[in-house]
Amino acid sequence: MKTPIARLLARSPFRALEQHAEAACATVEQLGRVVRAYVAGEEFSIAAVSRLEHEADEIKSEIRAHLPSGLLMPVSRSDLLEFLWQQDEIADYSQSTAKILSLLRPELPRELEESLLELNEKMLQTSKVYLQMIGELSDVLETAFAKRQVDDVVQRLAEVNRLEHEADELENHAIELIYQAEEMGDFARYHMLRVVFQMGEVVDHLENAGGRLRIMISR
Amino acid sequence: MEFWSPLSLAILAAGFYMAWNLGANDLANAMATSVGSRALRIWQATLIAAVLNLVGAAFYGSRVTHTVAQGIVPIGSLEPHILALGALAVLLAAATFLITATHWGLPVSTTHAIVGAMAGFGIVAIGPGRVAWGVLGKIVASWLISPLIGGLVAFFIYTIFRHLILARVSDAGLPQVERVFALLQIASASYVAFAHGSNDVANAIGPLAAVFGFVDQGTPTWLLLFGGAGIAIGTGTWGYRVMRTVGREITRITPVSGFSAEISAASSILVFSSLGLPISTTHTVVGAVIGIGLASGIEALNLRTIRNILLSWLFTVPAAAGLAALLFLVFRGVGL
Repeated sequence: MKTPIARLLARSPFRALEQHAEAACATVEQLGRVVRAYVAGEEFSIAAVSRLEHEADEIKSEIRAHLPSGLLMPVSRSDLLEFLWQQDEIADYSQSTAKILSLLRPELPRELEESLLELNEKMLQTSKVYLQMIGELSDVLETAFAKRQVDDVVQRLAEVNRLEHEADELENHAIELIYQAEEMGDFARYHMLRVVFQMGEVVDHLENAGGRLRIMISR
Repeated sequence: MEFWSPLSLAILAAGFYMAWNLGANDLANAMATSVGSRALRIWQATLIAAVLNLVGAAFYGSRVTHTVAQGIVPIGSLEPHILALGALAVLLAAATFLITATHWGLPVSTTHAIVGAMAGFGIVAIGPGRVAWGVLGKIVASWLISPLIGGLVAFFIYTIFRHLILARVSDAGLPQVERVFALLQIASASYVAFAHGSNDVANAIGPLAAVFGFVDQGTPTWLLLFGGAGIAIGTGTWGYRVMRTVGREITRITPVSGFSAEISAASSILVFSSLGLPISTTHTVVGAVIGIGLASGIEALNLRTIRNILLSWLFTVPAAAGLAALLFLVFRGVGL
């Protein structure tokens, strides 16, 4: 039997938001493994990436389904949905990157291989810090948005932004290398450009989602 | 009124059932925020609820009981036998209404049902002109005011804790603050149980006091104890199940939020108990929880509950009044 108080206390979306972040960042991590295997020229499967992306999707739908308009939350409903959407893009871009990777493995110049691995590590590092930032969210809620706890999130976000900037530079470097690699076929170069752009999108969306989180919790 | 007659035993049984029902459902609901913050285990909450509710009923329950017994319907002019039939009709009407409404999952209030039933009985027994409409108006106004006061107090108390404690605590100190407030919640849960007893016991024994009390001499202590014990038995035999369900389903509340909600709701309830006004303890707790939510202290509240509660207000009083009037007329008509 549901008592009036039990009805009043609705299911909180915040725990699910954390689970969604965990799924999204696990997708990035799996993509990282795929990229390493790809560069090493080993066999790889993108099944794990797809499975995790699907998991994130399901959590996203679940959160949306349990967010009726009559919900009183300490954050704005539209800010929360915007944040969720951006966070879901992290998983989406990870999956499409893995998909593109799996389609073609041309012969790569040694320098480009190294550049790809560096970009990959930067992406993984950004994702790790992003997840730490999400971990701070529960303290923010617990203290009803105390400045100190919000500042903890903002500091992590600054780190995410710094890593994103570094990833941008690595991305530009990889693009230059692809433009210089005239020995590669045109389609192979097009393919590698797509791969690098997509990896850049993953990092961009880690930053974007962090930015939306900040908007959601700032007051 | 002869004490050992079948009629008086039936009234006592109906009153006991109402008390049992209060303990099984309403009190469990009032304790929900303690269970929801995991500050208390179910058996601890049950024990506190049963004991402190009995204390509240025995020491502070007479004013509201007095209002329910003779404030709405001036019973002085009624013969004891008519009064007894009325009390039985009131209790059975309220009980039937509550069972039906709960079956449909409507958030109706026991208080509203009993007050409505008393008014319905009064209208047919002494005529609409002599029902104390002024008192009834004050009671209905208090139903609106009590959740608002509970909410306002809760908002301010939580905001004070937020600025004085939560804003200053370090990451490492946060679990300690939580532990302290979890302990404080034992006190606030006791306070809620006490307040509940002081106001809600009248729902069970108000009609009994009209029959067994002596007009204008206050409520006999044995009746207050009888009601309090009935509530305690209801909590002990069934209320713990309701609490268990609530504890499982409920979104976690932080101990600071739970503590703030409880002391605000209990204080608000006690003010109305001392004014002798029967209010809905559940609705007051709802008001307090919303107050915490408005102060950013709870992660998600379903505000549609408010609409359901307001809707339930509209039909509880007329339905319980009509049913009590009907039962009374039937009892008198068949020559009980």
